[in-house]
Amino acid sequence: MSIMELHDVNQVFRRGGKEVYAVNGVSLSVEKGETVAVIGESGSGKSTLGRIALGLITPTSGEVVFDGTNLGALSKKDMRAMRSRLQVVFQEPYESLNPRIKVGNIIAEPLLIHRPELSRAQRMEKVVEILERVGLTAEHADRLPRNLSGGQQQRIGIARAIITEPELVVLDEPTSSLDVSVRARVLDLLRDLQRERDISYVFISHDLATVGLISDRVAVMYLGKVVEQGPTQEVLTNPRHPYTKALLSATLSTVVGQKREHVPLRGEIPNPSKAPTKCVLSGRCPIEVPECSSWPVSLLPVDERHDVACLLTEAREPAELGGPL
Amino acid sequence: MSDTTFAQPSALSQVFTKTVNYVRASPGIVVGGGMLALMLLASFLAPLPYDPMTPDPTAVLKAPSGEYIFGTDANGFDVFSRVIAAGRSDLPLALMGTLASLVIGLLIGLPLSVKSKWSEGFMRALDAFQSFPLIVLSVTIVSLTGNDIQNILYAIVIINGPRFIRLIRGEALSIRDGRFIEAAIATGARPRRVVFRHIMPNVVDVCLVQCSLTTANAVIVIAALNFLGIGVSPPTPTWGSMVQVGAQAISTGQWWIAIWPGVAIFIAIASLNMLANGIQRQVEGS
Repeated sequence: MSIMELHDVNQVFRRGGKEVYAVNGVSLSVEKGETVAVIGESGSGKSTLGRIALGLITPTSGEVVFDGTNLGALSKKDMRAMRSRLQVVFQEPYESLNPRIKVGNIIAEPLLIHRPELSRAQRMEKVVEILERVGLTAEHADRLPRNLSGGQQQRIGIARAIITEPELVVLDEPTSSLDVSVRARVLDLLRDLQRERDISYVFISHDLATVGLISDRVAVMYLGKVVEQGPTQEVLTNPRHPYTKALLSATLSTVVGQKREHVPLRGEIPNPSKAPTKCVLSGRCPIEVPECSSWPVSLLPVDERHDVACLLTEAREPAELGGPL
Repeated sequence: MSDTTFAQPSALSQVFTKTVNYVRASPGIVVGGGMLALMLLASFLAPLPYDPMTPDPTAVLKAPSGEYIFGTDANGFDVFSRVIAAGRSDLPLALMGTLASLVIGLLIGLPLSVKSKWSEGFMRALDAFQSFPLIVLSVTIVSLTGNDIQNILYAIVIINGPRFIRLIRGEALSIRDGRFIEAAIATGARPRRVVFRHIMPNVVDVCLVQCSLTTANAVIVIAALNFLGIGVSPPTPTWGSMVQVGAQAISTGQWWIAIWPGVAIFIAIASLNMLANGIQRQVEGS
C-alpha cells in the first residue's frame, strides 16, 4: 500500500515578475517501507519536490496524499499534528541545528510538541535511548551542535527526525556534505533504522553511487519533470532516457575495465522559466528528432514498473509513435 | 612508585589566571564594565563630604581646593558631592530606559520578522517616524505631558525603541532563512515557538551590543533634557542640569562648575562604548 502519493504536482515560483516552473507535473508514489530516490542536478526541482511532499510548500496545483489524507486539505493545526509522522533530514547538518540549543533539547523538541503528556524524565529517557540508537552517547546531550563533528551532527538530525516514529522521512541529500567514510556509516544507520521501524524514505540526491546503495526505486528529474522512473537496478544498469544515460556516463564505474558508453549533452541546463511546449531535453539531446520539439513528452511505460519520458526508447517501435521518423 | 605530588595551583590562583586571560581576551568588557560598575557603586555607596541637596550659603563659588575638591557653585552646593550623587538618578534611569527599549524592540521586532505587506507597511511608518528629529519630538512630548522623571523614560524609549525594533527585525529576518528554522517548522513547531525558542536566542548577541550603545545614548538624552530644564526639579542633582547651571558661570571664570559633571558624562559614555566594543568583539570571536 502506498504511504505517499503525489498526483500531477506543479510548483510555479514567481521571481521578479518571471515565472519559474520548478516542478512540472510530477506524480510519484512511495510504498510502505520502501526507499524512493529522486535524483537530478541542482535546479532540477528535486528539493522543491521534497518540500512539497513534506507539506512545507503548498504546490501551485496537484495533490499530496499521505496515508490516505490530502495534505493540502488539512488545517494548519492538523498539518502540524501530521508532522510527527512525516519527517525530514537536511543536507547541511550544522545549519539544520539551532546553534544556541543543546543537542538533548534539540532531539527532545519533537516530543515536547507531539507528546506533551510525557514528563521531563520520560522525555530525557527517550532522548538518551535514541542517541544511543544513532551511535552517540547520553553524554552528547549536554553539548552544543558546534562541538560535534559533521557526522555526529547528522546523526543528531536523524535522531530528531525519528524520535516521533514517523512513517515517512524525506532525506534531502543527507550524506552529500559528509566525508566518504562517514557517509557509508550514516547510510548503514539509515538502512538499519528503516528495517527496524518500517520507515519509508524519499531519498533526494545527485549522487548515483549512493542512490544505488540505498534505494529500491529511482525517479530521475530534469527541469522539474521526472524523465525516467523504475527499479533502481534496472534504471542504473539499463537506462532508457538519454538524460539518464548522460548522467550515468558522467560517473565512474566501480567495475574494473568496464567502459560506459559516453553520452554527450550539448550546452547547459536552461532556466525553467517558460511553460514547456516541447521535450525538456530538446536542444541538448544527442538523439533528437523533429517531433521532440512539438509537444512536452510525458512518461510512457517501458514495462510494468519502468517509465520513460522519451519518444525514442528502444522498447517501442517507431510505428507506435504515430508519426514518421 | 614514588608518591611525589606536584604542587597543584590553588583555587585562588586558578581564578586569578582565568581572570587575567579573560581581561586579555576582551579588555573592553572588563575595563568598560568595571568603570560603569564603579560609577554605580560610588553614586550609591560612597560617603559624600557634603549633603548634595543642602547648599551652604557661606561657601559660594569657591574654586577647587582641599576643602571642596571640585569647588562649589553659585548657590553654595558642593560640586563633588553632587557629581557623584547625580549618578543615582542618571544611571538607573538610563538603564531602565534601555531595558524598556529592548523589551519593546523584542515584542515588536520579532513578530515583524515575517515578510508580509503588513510588516513592510509598519517599517515604512517607522521610517517616517524616525525621520523626525527625535530629540525635538521627545522634548515636545515631555514638555506637553508634564515635568516628570517618568517622561524622561518615555523620551529614551521614543528615540531608542525604533532602533531596537529595526535591529531585531533585521537580524530575525536573516535568522529566519536558516535551515534550522525550516527544520523546526518541519518538526511541527507553532509560529510562536519558532519565534521565541528558535529566533530569540539568536538575536541576544546583537542586542547586548545595542544595549550598551543605547545606555550611552540615554545618558546623553537625560543630560540634554535636564540641561533644557525638563524632567527633574532642583535641587535634585543631575549631570545635565549641573552643566546647564555651570555653563552660565564659565564666562565669568568659574570653569569648575560645568567641567566636572561634563567629565562624569564623558566617563559614563566612554565606558559604555568600551563595553559595547568588547561585547562586539566577543560575539564576533565565537
